[in-house]
Amino acid sequence: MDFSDLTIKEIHQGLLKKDFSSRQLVESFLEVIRKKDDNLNAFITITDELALTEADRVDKKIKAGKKINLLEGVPGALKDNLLLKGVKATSGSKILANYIGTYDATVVKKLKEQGAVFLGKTNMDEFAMGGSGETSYFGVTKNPRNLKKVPGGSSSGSAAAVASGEAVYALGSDTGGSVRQPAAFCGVVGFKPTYGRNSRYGLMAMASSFDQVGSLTRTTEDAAILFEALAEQDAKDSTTVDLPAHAVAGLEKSLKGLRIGIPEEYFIKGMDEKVEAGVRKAIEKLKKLGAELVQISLSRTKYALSTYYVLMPAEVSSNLARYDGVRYGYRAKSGNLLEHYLKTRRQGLGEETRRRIMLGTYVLSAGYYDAYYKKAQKVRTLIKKDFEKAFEKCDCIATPTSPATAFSLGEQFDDPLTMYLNDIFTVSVNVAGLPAISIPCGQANKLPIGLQFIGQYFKEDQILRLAHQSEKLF
Amino acid sequence: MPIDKKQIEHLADLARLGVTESEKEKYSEQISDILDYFDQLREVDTKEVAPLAHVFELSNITRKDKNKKICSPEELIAEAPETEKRQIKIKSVLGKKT
Repeated sequence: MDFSDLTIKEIHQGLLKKDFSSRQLVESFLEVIRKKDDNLNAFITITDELALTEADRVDKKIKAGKKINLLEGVPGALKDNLLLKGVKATSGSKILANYIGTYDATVVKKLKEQGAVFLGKTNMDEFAMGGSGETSYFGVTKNPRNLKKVPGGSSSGSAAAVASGEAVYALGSDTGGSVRQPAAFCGVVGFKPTYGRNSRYGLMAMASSFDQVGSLTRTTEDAAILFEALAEQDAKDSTTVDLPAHAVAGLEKSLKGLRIGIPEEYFIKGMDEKVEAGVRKAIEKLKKLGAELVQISLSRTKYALSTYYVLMPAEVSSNLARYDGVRYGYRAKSGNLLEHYLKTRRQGLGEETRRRIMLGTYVLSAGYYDAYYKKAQKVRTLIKKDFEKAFEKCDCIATPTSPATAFSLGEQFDDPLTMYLNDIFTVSVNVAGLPAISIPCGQANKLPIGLQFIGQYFKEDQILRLAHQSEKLF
Repeated sequence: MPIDKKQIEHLADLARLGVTESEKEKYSEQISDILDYFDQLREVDTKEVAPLAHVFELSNITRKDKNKKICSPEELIAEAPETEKRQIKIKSVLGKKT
């Protein structure tokens, strides 16, 4: 039996009706992984024993006539920068190649409480830095839609695993688009809630004022289910909020009168014309849902990328100082302490990671702090204000997720600035801390195109409802 | 703003990152290009604008200062690359340079 197209609810129903057992389900997904992952390289660690043990526990519960949760027994995957106790957590880096999670991340703990089953940990750009899945120490991940193309990044393995039917869902992390951009490239749904919605405890920090855990799924309904399961105020993350998170029940509610803002600044010169045409066509179709299209302006959009690429490396340079080979991780052989640091970090960290640490060190250094770091913080204020002003005229915003479809493996690897430009439509959302979702809306160049909906703070239910009802249009 | 090889060496030293000769060349070109791109931020008038370090105004979430067991000390020590008698071993910090 092929389970690879089933949604979370369909699997739940199937388990309840005893159409299949949880063990059958897990074995089938492990079989898909065995068949496909030599080519895709979406997983770093496969937790087959753990998954089967959990599956048997779920089956026993069903057999005993006990109630099971919606996510119980549903096989998912975790990005490798999330801690799962007792399992390797490498963040795609050599410096953590043998690091074992010593506790559960709060989001992992919450899924475990629901009875979730984890198939493994997914490949990713090193420490979530990269937009192509090519900077992992554990090799590149390939795009399941076309093996010569990148899957996007940094949640490259999570997107590839879901797109190829290796997992029902996968968690990712989104700092500048790392859930939405790979979702667009692989043709799946990528959702990032408002900053502060779910806990970052146990998520390896990249840029703490931008990082947020998100999901990769095949449907928006699945994204909504995970959103409700993960949202919580956590005493271990002081940025989390105590607000209700409801989305699933309202997915079918009418969208009549919903005002969707279309910012002209997101249709720029130099973007792939076929992507632009595809997104514009998709947006026109939204009228069929009863929504109203409104022209809006986000005038500082063109500065968002610079703002992000000043502030993010600054936070990276401090957050990654902890990887020094002293208490854990890779350690190079050395004669003295200084040499220990230099050699450990040269050998243990990849090229892109070190580039960003240096860039961050530069913008924070005396003499440049005001010109770069503080300046970017001020522009960040303006970008946030732009959104607040736009939301006076509209309820949510529709844009392309990425200016192009998935590019070829190796194509941009040695050109960091061009690589960074891929993030141009996704970073503003993180700069302002807003929720956003990317859904597939057609094809160009025989590859999926992503349509992004940006919502107001803590109004995830609105973009989830819009995305859910849009799915039927494309 | 061009960054020369010497500045790259200085940055790498500050960040405790070793860089090879060929990397110095490459990084100096790439980081110069990226900084040139950042120059566009100068166009934005930010005279009366306050810097934003964080999206929301936050208040502290506090909890009782109580011991809580997250994992055993042995599990943490087992992560260390070199240990001796249940202690993490590292090159000497003070004293002779060996």
